[in-house]
Amino acid sequence: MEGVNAKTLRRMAALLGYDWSDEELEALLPQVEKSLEMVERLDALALRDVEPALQYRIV
Amino acid sequence: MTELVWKPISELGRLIAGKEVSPVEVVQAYLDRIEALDGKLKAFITVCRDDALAAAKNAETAVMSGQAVGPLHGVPIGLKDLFATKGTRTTGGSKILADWIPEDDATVVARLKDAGAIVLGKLNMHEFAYGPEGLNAHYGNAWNPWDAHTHRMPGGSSSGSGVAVAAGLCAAALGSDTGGSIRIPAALCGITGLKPTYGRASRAGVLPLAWSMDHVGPMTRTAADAALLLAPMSGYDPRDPTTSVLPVPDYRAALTGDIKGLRVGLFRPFFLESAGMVLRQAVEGAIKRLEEQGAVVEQVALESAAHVAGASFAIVAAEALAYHDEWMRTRPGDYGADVRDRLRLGAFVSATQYLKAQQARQLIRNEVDALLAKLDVLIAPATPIVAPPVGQTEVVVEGERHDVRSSLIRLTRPFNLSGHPVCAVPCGFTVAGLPMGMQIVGRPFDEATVLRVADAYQRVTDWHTRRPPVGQDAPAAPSPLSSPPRGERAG
Repeated sequence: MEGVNAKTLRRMAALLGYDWSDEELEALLPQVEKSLEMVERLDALALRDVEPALQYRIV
Repeated sequence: MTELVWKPISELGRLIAGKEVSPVEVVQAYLDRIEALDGKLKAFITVCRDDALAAAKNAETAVMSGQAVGPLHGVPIGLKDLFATKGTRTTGGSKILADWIPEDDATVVARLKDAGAIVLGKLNMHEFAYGPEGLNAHYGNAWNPWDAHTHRMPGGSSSGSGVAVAAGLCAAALGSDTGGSIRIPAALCGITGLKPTYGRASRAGVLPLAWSMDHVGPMTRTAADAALLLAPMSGYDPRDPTTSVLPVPDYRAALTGDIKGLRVGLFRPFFLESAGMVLRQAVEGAIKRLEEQGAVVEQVALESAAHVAGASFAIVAAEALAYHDEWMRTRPGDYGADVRDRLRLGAFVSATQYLKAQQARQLIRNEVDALLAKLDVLIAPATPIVAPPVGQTEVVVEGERHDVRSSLIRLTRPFNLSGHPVCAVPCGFTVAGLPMGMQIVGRPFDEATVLRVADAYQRVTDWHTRRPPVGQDAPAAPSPLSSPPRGERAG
């Protein structure tokens, strides 16, 4: 995934109020990149007319 | 060891109701076996010896005084340690909740107690249910009983439930399933695990991992036993707004053994094709047994399967961090490193990504629904691999290297997204004696058909009757947090 580095993670974590060290974020970076790549692949789906399953009650 | 601990629940209930066996005798048999074996197996976090014996005495009194009793009367069960139990600590497999003693039972626990079940204790699990390996740094790693010499993963997160049922430490157990946490340990431990439809059984009083993906269900040795537990667990609960108002059918009556003409879809791409050769052969062998019983099988595909991982990650990671947000700020050092890292990942999922994942989820559910519009059930392996040794992080399947964690949840989590009911049943053993499992997926709220197929398969196979090679010569090792309150024993 482009554009994600430890600095980006630090900013995002800080925005959420988490005080995570640079070492912790560096160690987390490969997992974040791998996970967000999986999520980005959802963009290949035709989702424009699909309502999200927010009220998830089958019956 | 008494044979009582291996009796199917239906038979155990009959013996108790017929005054042939006392509930006290039954509970004591299980407690003796726990005492002998759980030092090594580490299935239990807390054993409720005194409470269980007191409940057994009351159950015995009820029988002897001629009160009408049901099929679960006096039957000892274990609970994954995220089901709240009034007056008994509920740890969630965590250090953070090591001393939490709930004031109420979870709804399904209360309902099972009302049906006569006796709680033997609280079972080991992956910390806060966030891991399919079933390991736990705080209470010790449960030991898969199918290999007495090599410490293998029981699968998780309901690891203690899988181990306890497989090793004869309880007649049945409850588990929870957010990405496969009932079905993975069921497969790796050679037992039957049922993830009901989302909304079938109440989650009230159950520690959440991801609210919209969590399911609770029974883990048993047979599908017939699962039917006995599911009935009282099911139905609307005002404490859980996602529970359905649909009536609860008679699941036992559905177990006719007749599957003639049943339309079965076999998931080949993504599912069967990602499993190792021996596992593929086991599932294909199971399909043949179903065909011999009159089922009509065709091969099917889930086109959206490639998007399951992304959608599942975004939803679980975001919901899990939302639940753990306060503790992640105030007590981050009290989490195991693996769970803390997984929780941190949720901070990097945006609201947009979460919503896209929920949109993708709807597509996936629609696709499974469309398949089940023309088929009665769908079949897939439960896991693409058998139980790996503890500490192993990669596996090689058909020459390709895979991450163990991703492999374990690969084939189960599509149905947490879709919410469909799934029963995992043992369908074979490797040459080394490790169990393999397959999933039977049904229409929403059609657990009856899922259980009918599972039961019909178990009527013509004996995988579910095998016993693991565990004995009394197992060495015990201490657990760091194994001193429970209220005089109860930690295993």
